[in-house]
This record gives sequence, C-alpha cells and structure tokens, in this order.
Amino acid sequence: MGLKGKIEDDWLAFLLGIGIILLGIFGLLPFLPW
Amino acid sequence: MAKLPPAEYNSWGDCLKGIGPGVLFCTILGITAWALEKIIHPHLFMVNYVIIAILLGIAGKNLVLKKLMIVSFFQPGIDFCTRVFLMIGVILLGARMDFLEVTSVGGNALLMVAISITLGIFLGGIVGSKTLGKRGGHLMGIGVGICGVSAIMASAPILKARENEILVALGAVLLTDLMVLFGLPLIAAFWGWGEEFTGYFAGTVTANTAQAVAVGHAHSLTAGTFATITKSARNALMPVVILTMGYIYTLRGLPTGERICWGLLWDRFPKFVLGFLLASLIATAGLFSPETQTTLGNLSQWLFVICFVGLGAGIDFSLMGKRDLLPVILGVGIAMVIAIYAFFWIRLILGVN
Repeated sequence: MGLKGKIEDDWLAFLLGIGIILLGIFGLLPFLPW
Repeated sequence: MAKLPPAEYNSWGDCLKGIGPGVLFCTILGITAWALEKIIHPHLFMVNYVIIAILLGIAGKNLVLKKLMIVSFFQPGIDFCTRVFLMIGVILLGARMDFLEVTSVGGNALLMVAISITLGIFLGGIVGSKTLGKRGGHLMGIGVGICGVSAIMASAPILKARENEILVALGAVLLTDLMVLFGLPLIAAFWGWGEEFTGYFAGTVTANTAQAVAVGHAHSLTAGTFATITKSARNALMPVVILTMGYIYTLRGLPTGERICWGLLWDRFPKFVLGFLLASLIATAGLFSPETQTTLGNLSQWLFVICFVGLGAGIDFSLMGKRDLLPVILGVGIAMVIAIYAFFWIRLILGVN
C-alpha cells in the first residue's frame, strides 16, 4: 500500500477513535471486560 | 482531508468485504491469545498475551494461510488491524491517562528522541556515503530514527529516493524491529529493568509504532504506556524532520520531489497523536465515568492484542534474504548506537532506572 493509503488510514483511525470517545462521554458504551 | 473510504475501495461495502476476512482472522487469534494467557501466564511469567498473539500470528499466517494459499484473501484485513486498530488503540489509551502525566513523560521524551532522530539521520548519511549513497542512508536513518515504515514512505518522495533505497531502508527497519521485538523483553526481564525505563527505552529504540507498543506491553502495562507516549513523541516529530530534510536538500541544491508547504506537513502529521492528546484532555477534565474509563482502557487493550496478531502475521523471514544485506546490517548498527545512547540518557539525564 502506498503513502496515500497510509494517510487515509490515519484519518479513519482518528475519526473512529473520536467516535468511540464521544460514545463514552455520553455513556453509550457497554462495559467491556478484559 | 484525505479520501474516505480508502482509495483502493469504491465503497464502504467493498472496503468491509476486503478487510473482513483478515480482521476476523486477527480477532479470533487475538481472543485465543487472551484466553491462553490465563492458562500459561501463571506458570510461565515471561509468556503473556503480547508474545502469544505475535506467535499465533506467525503460526496462523505461515502454517495455515500460506499452506492453503489464501494469504492474499486475508492480507488487506491483517494490514488494516496492524495499522488502524493500533492507532485507535493508542487514541483510546489516552482516555485512561492524566494529561499532565502525558505532557510530563512526552516532554521528557521529546528532547531525547529529537537527539536520537538527529543521530540516526547523521549516522545514516555516513553509512550511506560508503554503501548506497547519502540519500538512501538518510532514508534509512529517518526510518530507524523516527517511525519506521511510515516515516520512510512519507520522506521518500521528498528525498526523491529510488526503489532500491526504499527497500534497503525498509529491510533495516524490519530487521531492527524483529530483533528488538523478541530480544528486548528478554533483556529487560534478565537485567530486571524497571517499568518506566523499559517503556522509555522501547519507545526510543523500536522503529515501528506497533512494535514499540508490543515490546512495552510485553514487559508490563506501565511500560507499554510509557513506550506508547515516547513513540508518539517521535511520530509527532515526523513533519519537523521532513521539513528540515527538504530544507537541507534545497540548500545543497539537491532535487526534492515535493515542494514543502504547510499543507504537506499537516498531511504527514500523524493524526492519532492528536486523538491521543485529546482523549487524555477529556479524561483529565473528568468527562468520563470511572466505568467508561475502564471500558475504554480495556477496548484499547483488545485492539492492541488484535494488532499484535497482525504484527506476527506480517513477519516474513523470506523477504530479508532478497535485500542487499550489508546496508541492512549497517542500519541495524545505527539502531544499536541509538540503543546505547538511549540507555545512558534515560539512566543519567532522566534519572530513571
């Protein structure tokens, strides 16, 4: 995969990460054990 | 902003079909690694979920996927886990961290890694002038010094690097990481290195982010956190290095492949580092309930274990033999010098044992 793909992955990870964090702030994440 | 879904897929549906099998492969083996740790770890302290996940990845790819000749069907998803799951994992790791601690550890690490990167590029230039040319040597130094494959791919167009120079640089980085991945946890355990020391060291010496996170976590959770922050500080310096190298090449009248501008620097800045800082700020502001904070920390660990399986599945020993070996070995030598520097800096300047 070329450089272009890496940059796109970077944004995708950022958006998904922030999305999960927003769910967390609003208390919408179910408890996940480890 | 870059195009989403990624350019090689026409739609999100295609994207999911492309990465689905590999993601499922890594997830199943990741859960297996987690379950096996519960059985093995109490008896064999050294063998934790990180080591098990990497070994399962190597075995799954080489003993199953390769034998059945279905690697290409799984590869896009495996690559996706190693890159995207890792970056999301790092962002979520920020949610269980105090922002002041992040800035304190990151601040400590920043000067140390700025020097180690400069050292890597400088030595790369010397090694390169004797073997594959200064340009190739600089590329290798950037790879070993900053963040492995991403730094090499981001700098190659600026330095107008040729394909063989990129391959040698990638070879050096992969070999270094392979050695650190299996060697460092053993050395740290043997010499009884502390958690913070191992974290700082892993974050400075390892080339790729996934390996740095894996090596740290193979020691302990705290070492993993310190390694992640130190490595993130290195990643954040990538645009600065690209700017500097472009500037130096222009000053010397050497051709550069791309014009340096703010847009290009922003493009090359790793966004997950911003996400990590943002998550840590939100956590420090007290916007997460304790239960959510635990969940986000656990989710981060689940994403890491899936990523570590992908990391194991990405280890291809046959690729090493195909490359020009001498510059690759010299590249590993650069990493060794950085390791010695990091060892003394962490002990003497940071005062961490």
